[in-house]
Amino acid sequence: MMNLRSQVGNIATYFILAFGAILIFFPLYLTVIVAMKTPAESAQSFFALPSSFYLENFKEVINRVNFGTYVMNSVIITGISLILITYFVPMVSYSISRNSDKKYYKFLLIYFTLGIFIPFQVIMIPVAKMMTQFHLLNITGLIILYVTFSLIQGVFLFVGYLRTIPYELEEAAYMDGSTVWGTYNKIIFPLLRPMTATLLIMNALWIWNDFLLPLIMLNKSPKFWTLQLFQYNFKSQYSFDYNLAFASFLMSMVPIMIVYIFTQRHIIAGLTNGAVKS
Amino acid sequence: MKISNLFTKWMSVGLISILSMALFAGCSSNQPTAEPEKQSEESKVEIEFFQLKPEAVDTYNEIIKKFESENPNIKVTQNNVPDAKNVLKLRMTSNDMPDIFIAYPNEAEFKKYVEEGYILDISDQKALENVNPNVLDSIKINNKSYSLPISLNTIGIFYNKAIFDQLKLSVPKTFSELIAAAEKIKAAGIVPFALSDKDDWTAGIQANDLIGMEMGKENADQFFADVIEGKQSTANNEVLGQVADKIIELRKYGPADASSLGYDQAISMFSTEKAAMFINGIWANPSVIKANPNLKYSMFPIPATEAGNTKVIYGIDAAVSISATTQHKEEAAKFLEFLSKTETAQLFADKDKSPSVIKGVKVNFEPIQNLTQYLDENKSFEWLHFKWPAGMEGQFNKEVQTLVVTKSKDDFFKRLDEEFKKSKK
Amino acid sequence: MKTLLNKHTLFLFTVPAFVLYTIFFISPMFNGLYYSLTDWDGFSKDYDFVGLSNFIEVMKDEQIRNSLTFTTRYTVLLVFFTVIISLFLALLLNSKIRLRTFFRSVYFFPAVLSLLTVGLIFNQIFYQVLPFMGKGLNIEFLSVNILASPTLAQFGILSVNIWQGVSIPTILFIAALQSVPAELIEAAKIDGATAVQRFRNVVIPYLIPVMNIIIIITLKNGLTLFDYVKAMTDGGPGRATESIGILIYNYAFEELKFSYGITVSIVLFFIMGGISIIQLKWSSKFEVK
Repeated sequence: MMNLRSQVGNIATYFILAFGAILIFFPLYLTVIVAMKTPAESAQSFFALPSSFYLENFKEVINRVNFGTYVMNSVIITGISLILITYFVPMVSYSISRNSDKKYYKFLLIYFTLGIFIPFQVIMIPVAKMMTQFHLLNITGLIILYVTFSLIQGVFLFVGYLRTIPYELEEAAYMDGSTVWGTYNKIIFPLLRPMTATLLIMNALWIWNDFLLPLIMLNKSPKFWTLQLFQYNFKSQYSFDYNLAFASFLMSMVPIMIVYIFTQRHIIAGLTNGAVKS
Repeated sequence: MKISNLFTKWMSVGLISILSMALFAGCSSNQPTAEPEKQSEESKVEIEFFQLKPEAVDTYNEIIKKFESENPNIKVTQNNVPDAKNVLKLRMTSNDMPDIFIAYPNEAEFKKYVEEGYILDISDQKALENVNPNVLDSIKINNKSYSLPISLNTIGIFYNKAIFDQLKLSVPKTFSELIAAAEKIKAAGIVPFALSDKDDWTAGIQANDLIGMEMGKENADQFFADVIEGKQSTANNEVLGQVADKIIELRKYGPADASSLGYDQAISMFSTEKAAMFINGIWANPSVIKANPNLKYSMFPIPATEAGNTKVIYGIDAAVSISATTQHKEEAAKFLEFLSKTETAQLFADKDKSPSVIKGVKVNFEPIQNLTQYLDENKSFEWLHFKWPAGMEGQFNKEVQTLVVTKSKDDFFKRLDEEFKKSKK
Repeated sequence: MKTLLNKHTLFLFTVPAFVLYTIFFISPMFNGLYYSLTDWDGFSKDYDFVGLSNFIEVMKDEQIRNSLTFTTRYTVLLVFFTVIISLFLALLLNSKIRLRTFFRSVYFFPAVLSLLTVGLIFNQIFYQVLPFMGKGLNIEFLSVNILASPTLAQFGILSVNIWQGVSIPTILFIAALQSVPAELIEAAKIDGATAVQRFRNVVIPYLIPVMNIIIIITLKNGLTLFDYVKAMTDGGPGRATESIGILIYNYAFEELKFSYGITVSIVLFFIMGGISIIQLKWSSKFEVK
């Protein structure tokens, strides 16, 4: 009896999960097939598979725009931001967590955490003005902003995670005459890797996919555009050519899809390991 | 161990993918790789032309090519981005002005640019000698010229000749004839108007035109000035009520999902013959032709209630200004002079299909003949918003858009009163 | 020298972060407060102090009230559905079934895509695919683009937001479920607690911390809604989906109402703060002691 019930339950679970998976894949399926159809084919039926492996739409997109430049800009912005984030966030968090009885560091923790409750729109307009005055309305300025904003959640997560790391290891190192930098570098930083992975994944997804900040900071010339800006701008220019539009959607998604396919287990594990522990 | 393993793995996969993307990017971008070679030709002055009209990108590219072959030491880079007007404003405040840019000299906002000192006074430039003097006078600020006007714009109704012939329809002379025609088209199973109410301005220009025509330009100017001062309410104006009714009535003859369609989609509907008419500016002509070069169509003015009252609305469509802070004043002036040549302006008019304000240029494009005739006969008036405070046109368009969706005239008038009063400064 | 440096290393560690954060996050906030008391349009070279009149105008502005109502209602629905659906999915994905890792990867996938691209794809689906299916199945409300309807458009955006927005919460909930000690559940079973009681009294307290994070993140996403609207309706039809995020952007960059836009954003900050405090207080009742 019990067994039968759990079997029915299992089948229901599969059914629901499979249905959800279809819901997730359907839009992607459409994107792929429409991107590979001629306008005439998609006029006949939106849903049917393309009659051949038609790649002209992609060629057309590449011919019309500097697609490579946009990918490069996105790669540079995401890459450099992530490298800086990997340095700055754990360092400041380590200082805060190991001095939690001192006023300055107590203040720092509250100071950074406060940012969690401040929606970006609150500072958006003044920041845009400020970057304009500093002549930082460019890729460098954008990277500075990403690193700054990553501190908010990053410090919160890291300080929590550092509490779970016992002091004994560092103390032993100090006894052996190691410097603070040496201890941090050789002992603490390696221990923080699961959390660092979480931080990098979260920020990589955010920075790569962000639209609002590049829209404000980089829209002044196509040579600065990121993939997301290209995507937004391409739709307004060629919106009556659906096949072309879908080809551009797919092309914008492909880089992150490839990364995901190869790293999905690590991404999911990395995201949860760090997040739940702190 | 396991964790650090995971980390290094993740990092290396990340690095590999970044590298491969960079490689891929290097291969696929043929244009940027060509650039360094060009730059090696020294002593070339580069000027940036910030161009606000997406329809005109190809046209200007052609003109620039000609200019560069005559002036081999100057390179003009055309830059066209979406939301370009916002970008231009941001760049003004950051002292990062493009050397040359498209301007709309009739608008209140342009006067503000001038007042803040962002625009170069070009009154003594040779380029202006070739412009129709009346037009030049109409855009002087404190008796000085700040832009080179090139062409005029106006709006009307695009119509599909084949559908009109097939249903034996003639060009409507009054608004009720227009509705009767739409009724017949609808009965034949064709969408009468390709409306695109997602883009608020496409609804706003209809109201702008109808109000000016029915109220009379001078009355309308006085009326809105009174609304701004709080001396009048839009709710008490009979003509405005009728215009609102007309705008709403037109929606009966649009596609069912008009409020989610944009300007481009409307062009697509009209050019692929899914809709018989399309209310928009003559600036849409290059896009319509591009979308379907074989389409047989023409245009007529939006008709008034009384046939004799029909007029067309107009303004300066494309003018070119030089920034006050440019490092290349001479080169920029040279480009302006080139633009003002009859020969260049003729090329522009032929491509852009717009009436020119440069001396000796004639545009031969059948679809707009009907509208230019009204302009030539002085049955025309300037856009109403030229007399409104900066930013008010956008608000007005937004309110008209809300009206066509909610169909609530009371709210519309209430909001208009509020916004006009708020715009006073 | 070396020891001195060593002594101050921990302090030096905080310098870059502190400087960046102060210059690029905190100072703009105070700048914003300052500008909210002026009538600057963001463009002119001079401006005047107007005291609190911007705040009074904002309170009176019907357009802002509409937008606030829409944004709050949207956020409440978003948080509610995100929590319910992701918890439900987490329970399913945490059960002992085959293909579990496969399903987890599938359900996480939307999280790696950009909101903008997803919004644009669904925009096309609402425009072309759903009406086609609606007509075929004779469902009237689907036979026209739902983004064209002032009442339905918000649900169109909401469903896309949920489609993508449940991915990360689901994964977080799974991790939290795995942190519930098995002994506790066994003990409750022995005490004769039903499945529902076990879930209510044993599992939920372990989910609360994660749920707090999820609610705050989703809350923030809802209140600052921008990308989807820009990709799908641009605030329309009319003003039906004009979120506060869109409104502030338009004020600042399109309508030359710089100080007014900042004032609205400060109001948004108070709303966000208020809701967060209430939510944290409420949830602390349930937490594991």
